[in-house]
This record gives sequence, C-alpha cells and structure tokens, in this order.
Amino acid sequence: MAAFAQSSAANDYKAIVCLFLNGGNDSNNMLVPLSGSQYTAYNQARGSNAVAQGHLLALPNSPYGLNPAFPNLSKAFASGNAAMIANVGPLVQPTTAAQYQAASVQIPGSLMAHDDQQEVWELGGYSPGIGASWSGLTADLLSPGYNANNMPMVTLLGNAVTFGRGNSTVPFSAGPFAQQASFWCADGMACYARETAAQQLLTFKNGVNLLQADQQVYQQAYKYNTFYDGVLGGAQGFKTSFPSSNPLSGALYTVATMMQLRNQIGARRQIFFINAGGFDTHAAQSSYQGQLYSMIDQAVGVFIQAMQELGIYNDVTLFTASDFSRTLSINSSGGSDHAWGGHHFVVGGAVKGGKIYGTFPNLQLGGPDDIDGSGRFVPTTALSQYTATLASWFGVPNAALGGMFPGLNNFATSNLGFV
Amino acid sequence: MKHFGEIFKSAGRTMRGSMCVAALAAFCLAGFAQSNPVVDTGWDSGTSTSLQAAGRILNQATFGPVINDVFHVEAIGITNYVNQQLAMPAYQIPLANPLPVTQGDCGSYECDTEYYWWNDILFGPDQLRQRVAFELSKLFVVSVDGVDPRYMPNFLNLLSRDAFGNWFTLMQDVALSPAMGTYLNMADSFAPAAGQRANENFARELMQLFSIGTVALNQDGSQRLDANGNPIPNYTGAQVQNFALAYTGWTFANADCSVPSVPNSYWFENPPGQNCPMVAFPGAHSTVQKTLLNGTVLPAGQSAQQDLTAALQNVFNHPSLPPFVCRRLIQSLVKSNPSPAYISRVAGVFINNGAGVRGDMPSVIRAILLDPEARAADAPGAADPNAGRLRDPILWWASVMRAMQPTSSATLPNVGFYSQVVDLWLGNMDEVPRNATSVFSFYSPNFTLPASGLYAPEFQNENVSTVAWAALHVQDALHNNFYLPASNVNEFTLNLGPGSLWYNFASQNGAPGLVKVLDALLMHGSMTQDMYQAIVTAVQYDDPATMAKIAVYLIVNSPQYKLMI
Repeated sequence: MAAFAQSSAANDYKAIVCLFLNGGNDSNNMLVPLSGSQYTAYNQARGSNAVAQGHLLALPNSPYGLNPAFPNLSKAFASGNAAMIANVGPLVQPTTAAQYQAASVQIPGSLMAHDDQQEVWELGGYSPGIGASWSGLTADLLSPGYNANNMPMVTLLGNAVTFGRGNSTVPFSAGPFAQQASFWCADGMACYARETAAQQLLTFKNGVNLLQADQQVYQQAYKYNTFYDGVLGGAQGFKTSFPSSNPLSGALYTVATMMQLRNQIGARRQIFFINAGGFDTHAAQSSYQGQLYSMIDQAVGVFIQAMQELGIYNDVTLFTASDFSRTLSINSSGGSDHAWGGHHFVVGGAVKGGKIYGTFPNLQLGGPDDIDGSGRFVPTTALSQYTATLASWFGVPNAALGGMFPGLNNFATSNLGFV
Repeated sequence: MKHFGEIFKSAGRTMRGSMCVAALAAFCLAGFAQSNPVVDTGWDSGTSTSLQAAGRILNQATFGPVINDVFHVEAIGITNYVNQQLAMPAYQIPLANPLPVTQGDCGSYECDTEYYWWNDILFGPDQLRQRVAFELSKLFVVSVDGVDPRYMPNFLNLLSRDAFGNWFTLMQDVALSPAMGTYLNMADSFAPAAGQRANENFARELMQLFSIGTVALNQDGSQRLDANGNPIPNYTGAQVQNFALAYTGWTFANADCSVPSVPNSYWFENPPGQNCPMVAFPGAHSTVQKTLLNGTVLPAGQSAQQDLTAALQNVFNHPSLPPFVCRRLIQSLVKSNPSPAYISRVAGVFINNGAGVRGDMPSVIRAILLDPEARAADAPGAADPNAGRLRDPILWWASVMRAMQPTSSATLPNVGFYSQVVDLWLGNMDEVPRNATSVFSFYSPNFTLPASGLYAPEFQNENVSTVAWAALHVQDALHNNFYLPASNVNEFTLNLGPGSLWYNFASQNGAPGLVKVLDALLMHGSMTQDMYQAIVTAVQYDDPATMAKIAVYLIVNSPQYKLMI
C-alpha cells in the first residue's frame, strides 16, 4: 500500500460523476460512422431512425461523427477534454458473437433485462445483484486516507439501486438544487425533548431484524443532514447558469455545490451519481431521441462551465453509464429494443480526449459482431475495464482492482488509458 | 359503536402469555426471549382475538388500522374479517374529466382521479381489495410519466375488480388496457414489414417483471439450477420476439368501444377509447407461426385474439409464475422475508385452489393472510425476528392519516388537495402515486440490506433525504399546515385539537394514557417499555394539544412504527 500512503500525503482533489442514462441509451445514434460500408449498413438497418450523413458532427481524426444534438460534447472532444469509448458492455472474458452463439464461453446473466443490467452497470462488473459496488468499495478503501469523517464519499442524486454501496460505505442521498430536508421542529419549547426522544428511539430494539436497518437510516439522517445543512450555509452560488428547463440541472447544482464546499466537508475525494430517464425508446424514437440528447449535451455544457468556474476542471471526470444499448435494426413501432454493448463518453480536464477508445463494432446485421441478426452487438470492451480505468485514475491501487472487478484479469489490460 | 374511552378504561386482565399454543411455540419463545418487554396497554380484555392480532391483520389487509376496525376484528375474528372483506364490491373511480379543468382548484387531469382514489383509501370500506390493487399496481406498472392520466381510472378500476378475480383475467385485462397499451407500446404495434421486427417492450416486461422473471423458480421461490449450479433462463431472445409477434394487431377502441375504421393513434386532445379494452384491428396482426415457452407452437393464421389468449395462457401456465407472483404478494402484504415453505404453500393454492382452479385470487389472498407464518406473531408480546415490511411512503402516509381520524369536505371541483399537497409531498419521499419513474416500479422486490442480506424492498427509497422529508411533512400535517388557498382550507383536516379523541386522552389521562392508546392503535400494543418511557418523558409537561401532536410525531416517525410487524 505504499502508493496509497504516498498519494494520501499529497493535497490533491479528485471527483467522479456518473451520469446514468436510464432505460438503455440507443447509442447507435450517438456515435455514427461518417461514410462507407459502415454508414451504409447503419442507414439500412436504422431506416427512419437513421441520422442523415450530412447532419453528423464529424469528430477530428476519426471516421465517426456525433449526433447533431451534441455540440458541447463535440467541442470538448475537439479540445481534448472528452473521449468516446466504443461498444462497452458487461463481459466475463473476451467474447465473440460466434462464441456467444455457441455458448462456448461464460456469458453474463440476465442480459437485456433493465433492472439487472442497471445493477451490473452500477456494480461495474458483469453479474447482476445488489451488493458492494466499485464506487462503494473505492470509498471503503480511500475514505480513511482522504476524507474527514463528516459525510460519506459517495453522494446519490437519483434512483441508484446499489451504486455507492461498499462493505462499510452507505452513500449519502442529496436533494436537488442544494436543498436538504432537516428535522426542523415547529413546536417551540417542546422541541428539545422531542429531538431527544426521537434519537433515543433509534437505539431501542424489539426483536425484529429489519428494525436496525431503518434505525441506521435515521441515525445517518440526523448526523449527515445536520452537518450538511450547516455547511450549505456557506455556499457561494455560481455564475454558471443551470437552466431550470433541464431535468439534470437540480442534480448538477448540488454536485457543483458539494464540490465548492469540499474543504468544509473535509473531502478530497468525491463520487456522485446523477441520472436521467426516458431512454427506453421502444417506439417513435425519432420523435424524441433528439430532445433526450440535447438535454444530456446541455448538461455536459453546464458541467464543464461549472467545473471551470470552480477551477477544478482538471480534477473531475464525468462518465456515462446505461442499462445497455439497443438493436441497430428498427422495430415496427419505429423504435429499437434491448441490446448489449454501447458507446459511452467521458468528459473532464484530466481526460486524454480527442480520441475514440476501444473497437467500433461491425454494423452489418448478422455480421461478425451481431449476436442474433437484429444488430445486438457483443461488446468489444468490458465494462470492468471501463470502470477500472476510472478507479485507477481516482487512486485505487492496482492490487485492489481485482477485488472490485471480478474477471478483470481475463482481459489484456485493466487500464484503457482514457484518463 | 362502543366508546373508545370506555373500552380502554374497562379493559381487564390481559391475555399476554396465554396464547402460546403448540403451533406457535417457537415464535412465542422468540417473543418472550426478547430482553425488551412491551408495554401493557390494558386493552386486551378476553376477546378471542387479541389487539396484536387485530392490529397485525389490519396492517396487512388494509391501508392501516382505524379504531372501529380494531373493535370489529376483535369481535368477529381474523378469518371472518378477511372473508367479509373478500365479499366487498369494488369501488370504481369515475372517468376523468374529459376536458381541461377550468373551474375549482384542480387544474389537471390527474386531480379528479387522485381525489377519488385517496378518498376511498382513507374512508372507503373495500380496504383489502384496494390494498391488493395498490400492491398489484406496483407489479403491473403504468405511470403517468408516459401515460395520459385520462387512461388511469380505467386501469385502477380493472385492478380493483380483478384483484379478487382470476390471475389470467387480470393479465388479459392489463394487456388490453389502453394505459398499458400506451406505456409498453402494445397499442398500434402491428405486423412488421419485411426486415423489421415487432416491438418487444410489452412481451419482454410481461415475462420479466409481471409474471415469471428471468430465471426458473421452484415452487418455494428458490432458483432452479442446472447441472453446473447456474440459474436457468426462463426465455430466450428469440422467444421474446415470438411473443412480440403474437401481441401485434391491437389499437385503441373508439369512445363507444367499437373497432375504428382506421387505427386510432393516441391523441392528446381526446385520447381514444378511454374506458375500453383495446381492439384487434383487421389485418394488423402478424399471422406467422410463433414458438413460445416450453415448446408451445402457435400455428400460422390465428387471429390477434387467439394468439393473445394462447400467449398469455402459455405464460400463465409456466411453473415459475405461481412462486414469482406469490412471493411478490406475500412481500407486499405481510413480510419482506417469507420462508420458502410459506411461499410454497401459497403457490400451491395458486396452482390449485382445491377446486381445480389455477390463479384464483380470493383463495390466494386467503392463503397469504391466514397462513401460520403470517399469523405467527399474533400473540400479545410475540415477535417474529424475520417479520416485517417497511411501510412504503404511500402506505405509511395513508396509515397515519387514517389513524388520526381525518375529515374531508372536498367536493368537486375543489379537489386539488390530494394531487397538489399529498402527492407533491410524497414526491419528496420518492413515491408519487401512479407516477413511477420506470416500469420496474418504485423499488425492487429483490432489494437487500447491506451486511445482513435480508430482503427489504421498500428500503430502496428509505434514505437520509426521504426520511427527513417524511418527518417534515407529517409535522406539517399534524399542524394542519397544508398550504392550501384560504378558500379550500377545509378540503382535509386532521383532528388533534380540543374535542378530539387524542386531545381528550391527553387532558384526562396525561402522557401515560395517551401514549398507551396510541400504542394500541398505531402499534397494536407492540411498543417496548423503553420506547414508551422515552415518549412519555418527552411530552409529559406539554399542553394537551402539543402533547398529542408530539407523541404522534414521535411514533409515526419511529422505525418501530415504519416497520410494519
């Protein structure tokens, strides 16, 4: 643990923001080949959901372009502060479509099931379930060396199931726009006695096992909300505008505020989870996917601006997650259905950007990467590699990665090098 | 009605310790072994059904005990109570106002429905039916985040009708409802053109979330494993697509439930077929052969209705369905961690109700509520260590409000209270009625606690933010601070002031009497000595109104109350 001791002696700050796109982002339309046989295959399979060639935002030095709804991401990519990671998904080991069809290697369980795959993406490995996640285990490991014991390292601003849960870490749940409910009392002189009794009740047992779990939630609420509400009094606000029309603004505002207050909180490492819904585009996708992407891109723009305003853009990395990508082929409702590997992006001053990492799949329906002729692509980069890269940047020593990411050693590298 | 105070004061010898019949000996032992004895409320008075038994069944079968119901169950017993409830007709919500609301304080299509629903939940007699329907609404999820609220009355009504029907009928009614048709896109999902596939949304979620789950189950709910010890998937991707094809060909009906001459699309100005099942549109169904579960083949050329019925039957008859469904219902009504034997007994009744009927809901509900494991902790002072289900925010809110003897004078068109106050507050607790953020509902049945690994579905939304909001909002309610416009302040009132039952108890019997009666009503006498003492100490010098407010606040915000045991 020499590296760990060394880094904790430094006075650095780092934060990770997970942006979860709930429902399964059809990233086939987010990162698109610009031309040639790949665009032809894309265009034929997508039909009315295809993005016209001329509308794509060409990425420098690459044969791919972004959906036109992503001007901010495109700009960050061009300036070297954003990277794309192609065709990521849960894998036990390197796997081809042929191996999937022959079931000759172990295949991750419950593929294409929303809740299971959300769990997998929150956990960072390949097995669905509810338990210790990479972010929670990272907090278990790094909190003692980096953070004061005022608040958990991980903060949730959305509907995470198991993100942030470690062996000892329980994440903090924060409200939007830096507002947090307290146990404020409206009964004047009677309040002191009320609060005393309320907290005593959190220690009494009644022989039922589930009781203690709820008592812990309340104990944490009294402890953390009280501390956090106190700290929030010192928040300075932002010049950056957080547009109220964007559903992610409330969460981003809290994230930025907690970063601004990192010294008061006593945190040199922070992990945040935010999410946006609506990506389960089974029908009429072309009528609203553009709005979803504009919402995400606007949020990316707000994020970059706020981080620059705080002077910590080089210390913060935002990454995307999603249940799965969707079939390249269109269905009869003008939508697409649950698939497997999908494209993702990372943004931040520390990102080694302007580059597409990983291997873009062959888009031919029934081609070498398609598992069933519908355009469900077997991932070419493992989710565990993607998340392990983030964990390494954050300060998790290599020796600890294996315990966080089962099967990571089955892959050629545990660090994709994008940050 | 017997006067509550008289009952309370005349309560004689308690029955504590006298109910340890052989079948329950282990649980009685567990109950008596605990080092933290419960308070004697003085309530049990020789009725054959104890306060604890009455309170527990009312927690499991209603939206929370009210005084008259406690007396009623004590008088007639649990079995009779359940049978009475099973015979109750279903309250049916009137259709939503078809036009934008311009009068009164409502202002949305939701608030009529919210008013009718909450009114029945808080004041209506068909409690068990509505409770089961409510729990079903968290299984067969539709959400106004994606569905026009004017489709909701029809959906809520079918849930409460079918709650005491047959599971197959329920599946078919849900499948053809315009609400589900919109939410999971079965409406206007037509035979795919060459090179296209059918929309898989409803086909996949019906199996995964509503009926059998992703992996094969034994009758006791445990996973079936293959020779290598791995779970066995219940269906393949190809089967999902075949089901999707079987479900093609349906569109919204006309307003009079007839088949339209061209397929109806959803239209905001006047959503088609608001109170009608969807209808098969001629020529829109894929007539190819479909291969479903367990090798069942639907021959080519069948009609949309024939394929739908056969496909739903194929799922309905799958061996994973009874344990999948029964585990969910037990977790919803009784406890988060049922034993495999309990699940197996109930699933056995689901498979065959004794008269050869599969999926007979009244039999299943009776089996759940009257099972020895559900009733194990009915003896006064007994505790089942694995008992309990956290009250989710809607159930918690309803239980608190019901117990506090609310009054409502809301009348159309001034019915905004429920949608604009209660539902808004519940949003801070991550559970807005009829507004789940996704098809997998507000929380997962498989959510587990750290360390212990116990199932605890409702804990998924129990966090430092939601519990603090809950406390703030219940404080507002106890102060009758509903932030309503002055003209509508009487839409809903909690009565804790002078003249109220609680006020009278506080002024006549002081803190000890008040806390005991609250223990009896809210916690069926399960309050431990230390909890009782802490609350009495906190409120003993308060004036009666404050004493009532704070005692109720402390109890309903305590994990001891939130955990329904």
